[in-house]
Amino acid sequence: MMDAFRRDIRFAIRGLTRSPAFTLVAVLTLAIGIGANTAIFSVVNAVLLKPLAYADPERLISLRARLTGDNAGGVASSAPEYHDYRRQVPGIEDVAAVWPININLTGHGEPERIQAAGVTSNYFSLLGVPPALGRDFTPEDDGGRIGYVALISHDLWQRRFGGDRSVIGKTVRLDDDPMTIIGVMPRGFRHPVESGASPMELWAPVDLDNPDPNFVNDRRAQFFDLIGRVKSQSSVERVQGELAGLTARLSRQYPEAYPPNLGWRAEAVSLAERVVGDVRPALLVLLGAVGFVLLIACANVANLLLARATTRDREIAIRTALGGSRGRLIRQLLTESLLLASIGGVLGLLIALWGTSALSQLAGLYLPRAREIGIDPVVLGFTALLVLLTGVGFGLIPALQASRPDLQSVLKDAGRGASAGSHRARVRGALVVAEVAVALVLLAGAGLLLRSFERLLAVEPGFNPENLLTLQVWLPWPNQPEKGRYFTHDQRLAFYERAAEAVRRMPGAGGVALTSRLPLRGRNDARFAIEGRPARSDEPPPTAEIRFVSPNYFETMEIPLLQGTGLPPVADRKGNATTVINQTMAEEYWPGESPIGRRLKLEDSDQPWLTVVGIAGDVRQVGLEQPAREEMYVSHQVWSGQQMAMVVRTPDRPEELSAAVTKAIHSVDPEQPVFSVVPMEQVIAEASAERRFSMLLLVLFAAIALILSAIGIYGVMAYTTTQRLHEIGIRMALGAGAQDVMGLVVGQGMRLVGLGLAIGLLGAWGLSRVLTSQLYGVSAGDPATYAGVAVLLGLVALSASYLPALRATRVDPVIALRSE
Amino acid sequence: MALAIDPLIRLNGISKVFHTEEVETHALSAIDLEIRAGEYLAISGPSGCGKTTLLSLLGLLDSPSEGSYVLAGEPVSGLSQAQRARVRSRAIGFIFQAFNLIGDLTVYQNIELPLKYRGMVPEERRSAVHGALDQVGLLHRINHYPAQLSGGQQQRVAVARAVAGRPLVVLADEPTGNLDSANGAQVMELLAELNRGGATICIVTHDPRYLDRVQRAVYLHDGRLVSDQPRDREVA
Ligand SMILES: Nc1ncnc2c1ncn2[C@@H]1O[C@H](COP(=O)(O)OP(=O)(O)OP(=O)(O)O)[C@@H](O)[C@H]1O
Ligand SMILES: [Mg+2]
Repeated sequence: MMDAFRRDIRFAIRGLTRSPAFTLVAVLTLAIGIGANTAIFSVVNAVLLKPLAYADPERLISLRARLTGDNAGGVASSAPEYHDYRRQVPGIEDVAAVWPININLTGHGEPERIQAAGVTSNYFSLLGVPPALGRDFTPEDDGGRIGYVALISHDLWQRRFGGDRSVIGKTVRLDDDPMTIIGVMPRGFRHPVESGASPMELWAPVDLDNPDPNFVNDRRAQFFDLIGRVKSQSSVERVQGELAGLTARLSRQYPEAYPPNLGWRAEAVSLAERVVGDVRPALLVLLGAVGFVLLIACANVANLLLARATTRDREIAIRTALGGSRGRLIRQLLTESLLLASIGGVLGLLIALWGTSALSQLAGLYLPRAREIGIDPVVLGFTALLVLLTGVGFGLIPALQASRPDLQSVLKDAGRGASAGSHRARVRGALVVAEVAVALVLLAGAGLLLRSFERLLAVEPGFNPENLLTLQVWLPWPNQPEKGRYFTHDQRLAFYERAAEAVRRMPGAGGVALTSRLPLRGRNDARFAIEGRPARSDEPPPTAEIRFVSPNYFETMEIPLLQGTGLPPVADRKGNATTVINQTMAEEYWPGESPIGRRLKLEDSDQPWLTVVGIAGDVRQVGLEQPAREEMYVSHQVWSGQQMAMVVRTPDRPEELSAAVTKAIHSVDPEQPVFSVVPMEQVIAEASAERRFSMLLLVLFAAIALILSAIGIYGVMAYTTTQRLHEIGIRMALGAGAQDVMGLVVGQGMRLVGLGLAIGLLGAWGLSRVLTSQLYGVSAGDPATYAGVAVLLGLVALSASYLPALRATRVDPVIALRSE
Repeated sequence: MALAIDPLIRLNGISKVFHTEEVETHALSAIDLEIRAGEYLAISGPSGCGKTTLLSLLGLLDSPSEGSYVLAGEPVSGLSQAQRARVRSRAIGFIFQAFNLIGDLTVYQNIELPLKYRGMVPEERRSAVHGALDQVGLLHRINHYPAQLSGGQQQRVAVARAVAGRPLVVLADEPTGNLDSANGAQVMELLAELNRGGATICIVTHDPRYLDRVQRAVYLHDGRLVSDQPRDREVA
């Protein structure tokens, strides 16, 4: 048995070394196919398949609410809701609250803006991950809004403390409050729902059992992200059912917090679903696409094997004649293809190693769990499975074919002088058709994403993003805010104006303006009331995106003022405060009339009435692909919060001013971190990063598919042309010119390609539906895209059959007379 | 026998040398040959003497190493590949020993093929194909594929294909070589009949029985033309 195996392997190696060109092309093709699949699978494995790295992760859930009235999901929770979930839902074992914040870290080095979270003291024990160094929180670790003790991430420990184990007990300052480090989390521990661009690096306890009446008692102060653990005898579905009951009870009990028109509803999903649910469709599309690439690779290799089998017919016939059984022959040929697949697999693994690191970098900014991407035993197993499947897949047809020499056609060919097309040629033709069809599906998908991306880039954001530097400043909010440097509006405003002034004085800086939030950097929703229009209880209250901006914001951003005036140079919060609204808001609330002079009031605040003084052009605040919402601008002199962004017009390359701008702001407050200093064009690029990722990969796969099918078509045409040389000689003897011969060969190729294109178009039309959610400004059945990719593939196929056709025209017609 | 004033084919000092791996094969040396329109000529000689080579030159499949070839008053020895293809499609009809019908094409399509290459319009092609097929008595097989025909039938289709376009000359290289004697005789009878109808025919054969049917027999030996004599039949 072992002996036979060794003999087969030797036979296979001999066969492969005897035709090195074939072996090289086949191995490379398989390496690309297997490599690309392994790389994408490693992403799918890390992101979708691997259980979250917590204890019993399948029992972890995310608790959020949906506002059916607003059609909004993912609403965070309030402290009272946290208690309700813990105490009133039987299936829930425990709940931890997370309050993600962005915070200034000072002491031990440069001031830095880091991502941190106030968490209830049960957070780490609920996730089941103890610190690597130091101790976990206890219920006693309470210091008001944010405790005076903190745990830090492994990365922060390494970066700021050089991995020094004596870090325990050291003090840093967070938003000016002293904070003692009591522990370091293990390497690789991540907050479940962090963003790849800004991982969570510090945790401080926030005690919801000892409520600060200022905010934790308010049901509408919904800023806690809740992670729950389901009891082992319960399930997510059971908890979901129990939450429906809770929703009904709470809505009855607190009608002012949960007005019926809002449609507040508590929801639970598994934590894994919360983390990766959004990216699953895109990743599965990529996995499918790369699977198609592998199919094409297999078809190509099968084609090569079939071509080679023809030249080996004699060898095989002799073997059969000498008593080799059919089964044995099939085994030998399969050993050969498995050997090919294995070599391809090993090379593919190398490609995948390189590919996964590239992918995790490319995806790291937005793909959850991107840092976990890598080659692990599961991925290796997948690769091994691919090797086995492809080895059998592309090897079986040729092996079955080769073991059954086509005596019939041999007899006919020789005896009757007719060049009959053999069965094998038909199989090869069918492979080409399939290859072209699959390539077209990929190309159509890539084309659709590419066009979406193009459309997205062509979207006018509503301002001029060129030569514009942006940066962010968040002022500290210490535990006892009233003792902080930026407690009052006037303190904050003074800082912002001095900072803007310092930047304005810099050589090279043009206009400098301030805004509470940059476009494309998240929403800032405000409910408002219109004077003289009482709110209707059966409708959700009107909302708008609100931005507090310096009066020169419109001019600096180049947002056109369509009607009225801008914000006044000086405003105060007493009376006569003004607002500029955008065109969409004007048309929505004052259709056919002028909103100028009307008054608005922001809900639940001590804000004054705001008189509408102007209408500005729409800005894509929320996302490039989403049409502009209702937007309103209020002077930052009326209200300045802890968070402010600055935009600076520069003569050219904005990034060159980054360091100088930071320095200018530090001249006002050296302790104040200045972060996210990037050109506006990068802000826009980040807003489309996810699409770029999918688009780039799909385009890459489509390009590989295109190249592989070109190789496949070339291979088949070169082979059939060789088979037809005698026939071509006859035709030339009968008067066929070079064009006729060219047309004959190219025509044969294009018939296969045409069939493949037709099938591919049907397939693409059916399959492109899965892309619908990723498309923008183009429909899944976009005829122009389909026509475009079909023409592209047709042209490539044409060039691929051109070379064999050219060779055919060089046939010496004398061979017609000198038949074998 | 007197030379015709205006021969259809005139070869002067034709030779053909093949160069292969340092070996030079003088396949034909200093051949002078004239063929008149309407003539029925046989080329014979021992194996390897250059018969097929001569036929390929006559049929413009190849060009001579030396010498001149005038076909119907036109010098054709210096033509390019493309030009030769054009002349071939109009002036030459080929019949091969191995029939060389194209297996994927029906009888009709096979006969139509050279007419297409010549650029004949479809209606003309239709009548030409039907006429030629009628001549060889195989009209009822018009939609068959070559593999569905006997060897003799295939060769008759090949004859029809060669003559359908009324070429200046029909060239046949051992057209009976793959046939039994009955079928061979039938094909030879067909060629004689075509010749009686005015076709110029030049065949390669070693079969002495068939030599009797031709007007003129040419013998090649070692690439040289060693004998050129009229046959009795012409007199009859
Ligand atoms: N392409 C070629 N390259 C080299 N030598 C060739 C080539 N074609 C023919 N020859 C040689 O030229 C000589 C004449 O060959 P040709 O085929 O014309 O002979 P033939 O008279 O037709 O023989 P047969 O009766 O066997 O068909 C032979 O010696 C042959 O080997
Ligand atoms: Mg010969």
